[in-house]
Amino acid sequence: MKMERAVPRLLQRVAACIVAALPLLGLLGLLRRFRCDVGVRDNPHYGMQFFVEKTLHTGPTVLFSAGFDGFSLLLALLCAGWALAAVLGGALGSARPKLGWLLLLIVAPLGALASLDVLPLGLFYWAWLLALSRLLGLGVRPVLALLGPLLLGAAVVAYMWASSVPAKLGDGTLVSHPTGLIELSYFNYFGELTLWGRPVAHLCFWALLLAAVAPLLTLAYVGLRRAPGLALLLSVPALALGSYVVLRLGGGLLPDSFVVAAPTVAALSVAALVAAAWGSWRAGELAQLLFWGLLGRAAAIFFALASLTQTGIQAALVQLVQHALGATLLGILLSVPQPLRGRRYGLALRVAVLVGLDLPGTLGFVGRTLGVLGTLPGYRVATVVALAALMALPVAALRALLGLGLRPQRGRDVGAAPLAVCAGLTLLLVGLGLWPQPLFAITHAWVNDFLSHTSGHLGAASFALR
Amino acid sequence: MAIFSHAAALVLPATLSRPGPTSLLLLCALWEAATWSSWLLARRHATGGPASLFRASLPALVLGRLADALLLLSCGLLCWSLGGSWSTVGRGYIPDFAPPRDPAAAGQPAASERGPTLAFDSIQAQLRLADEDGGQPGPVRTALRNKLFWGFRLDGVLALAFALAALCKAALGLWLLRVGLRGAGRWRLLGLLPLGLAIHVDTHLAALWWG
Repeated sequence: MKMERAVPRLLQRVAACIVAALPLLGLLGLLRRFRCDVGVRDNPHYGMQFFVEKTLHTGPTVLFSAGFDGFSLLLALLCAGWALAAVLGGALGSARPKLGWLLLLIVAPLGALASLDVLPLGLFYWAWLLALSRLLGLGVRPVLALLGPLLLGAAVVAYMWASSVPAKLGDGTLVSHPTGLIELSYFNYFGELTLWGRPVAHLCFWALLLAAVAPLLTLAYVGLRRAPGLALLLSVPALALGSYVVLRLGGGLLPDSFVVAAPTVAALSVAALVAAAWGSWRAGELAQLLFWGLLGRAAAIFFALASLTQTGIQAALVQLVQHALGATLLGILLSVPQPLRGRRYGLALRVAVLVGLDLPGTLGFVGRTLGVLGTLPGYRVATVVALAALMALPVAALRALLGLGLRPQRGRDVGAAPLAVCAGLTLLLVGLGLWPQPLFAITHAWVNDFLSHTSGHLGAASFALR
Repeated sequence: MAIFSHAAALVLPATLSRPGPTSLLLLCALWEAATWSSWLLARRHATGGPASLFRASLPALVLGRLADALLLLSCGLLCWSLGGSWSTVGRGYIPDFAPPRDPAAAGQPAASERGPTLAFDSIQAQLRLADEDGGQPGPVRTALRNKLFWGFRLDGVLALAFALAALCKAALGLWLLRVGLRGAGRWRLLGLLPLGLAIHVDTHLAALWWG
């Protein structure tokens, strides 16, 4: 019983600490910038006074982006749609959260996606982690609850100190002025800074990756033991935010570290995929099956992300959408109050299971196929192994599911509202599977920008599948 | 699903034979649809509970999924090998040329239009590009012959991978025929579907390769 709570609690705390330390890392980047860019400290556009004046004039756009790019837009749509479907389907009600925590759980991912600055990004992500811990019944320690504001406050104070020190360098040339308090771009200035003989940027990337993966592992661990439906449902924003942190912060701001870490990430993902296929084959109950399924889906997404090709990243985004739609569908059906055994419930559950098998004509098939094509240029052996695992995963899941017995039986049936939500999600899964162009249209420009940012390191990245 | 299988068998040759853009992804989708429908057919002849039903139809799934995986890998390999090669000294994938900057190139497929693609007609056009002297194998075909994949000639690896995929699909068809002959007779002809798919793809790609 102790272990059941200790492992996910530890994971959540580690993730929360990393996220709370993000502004300090950004500040480190800012200090490096003072050293790298001659004359920046002379810039009168730095400093708290400037920031306050600008905030008063321009409003919150200093901290938040005025408009979403393709990637953020897709993830924001996912999170908003997920929240709407979960609330309409009555799935989150089974957890009986207080309204404040529930709102935080829904609003915080959107706030993190809209953030232009490290401060609000860290704050929203950290708040989301707290809400997640609360909803999963892991408890929130006061120390942890205070840690975020304390570190964020320390970052602001340190920023004020750093920007008030008179400059001694350079000829006073103005390089640029900040648009926010601690911009995301300051991560670019880690340069050759090392810690314990390792580049700080690389360590930072791995810390970000851990913060991105920890909530997923927590959910998988909790889902394995209790509340599988809720864990599956909450995995949607967890995976969306995790991908955002890895791509936007890890890939966008620390491209060198991303390129260096990509083969290790790919190897770990393939190992997780193989474990998921093996675990699904051995699964004896639904909770275990969902655990391995969630692990497999997350591993497939991270493997595609690590390919660093246009096709691979597009495939990861497609798989992300597929996971969001499929997990919400299944999560709603598994989270409704038990026992439900009616005919409509049985039919909806069967459909939910079928869409998870990556059948041709569904979004899962498109994502898996493009993922294999995207990773092949970079990782030949890993792609072959991953493809074998991806092909075996639905077979193993099917074997376990057939053993569970999903035949309709007499009993209380599912209500009209959850059924309508499930029907809509199924239509979206099949519709986008047959015509995925709208997804590509949203993200195509962003993926190109992202790859052009790292194209100095990548040979095959700029090739598109025509 | 049986009706769907028939429809797939009718649609596939028509889509691959007609002129115009046809993606190899469609081929993979239809192959996989045939696998799942074959599995459903195989389940019809088994008796017992869900577990025994699954065991009885497992060979159909294994053979079919193996064929699908091999086809997908072959398509991916063909796609990427058209625009680059894998370094033999561990430098990863190296593109042959820069991506096209001017999409307004007209006429016969030029060098700028060469590159990774899944469009069947584009692959066809690239492989049939003639050498400047005429009569000799074109530049893309020659390049494929000279490239190495894990130390083996790439065109040989591709031919072997496609042939293995077709063999696995044919084995699925033969297995279905055998099951059908032992069981209800009216389903046995559907075993010809995977066989037909395998033979069709093999002959079509062979014609593309050596034609």
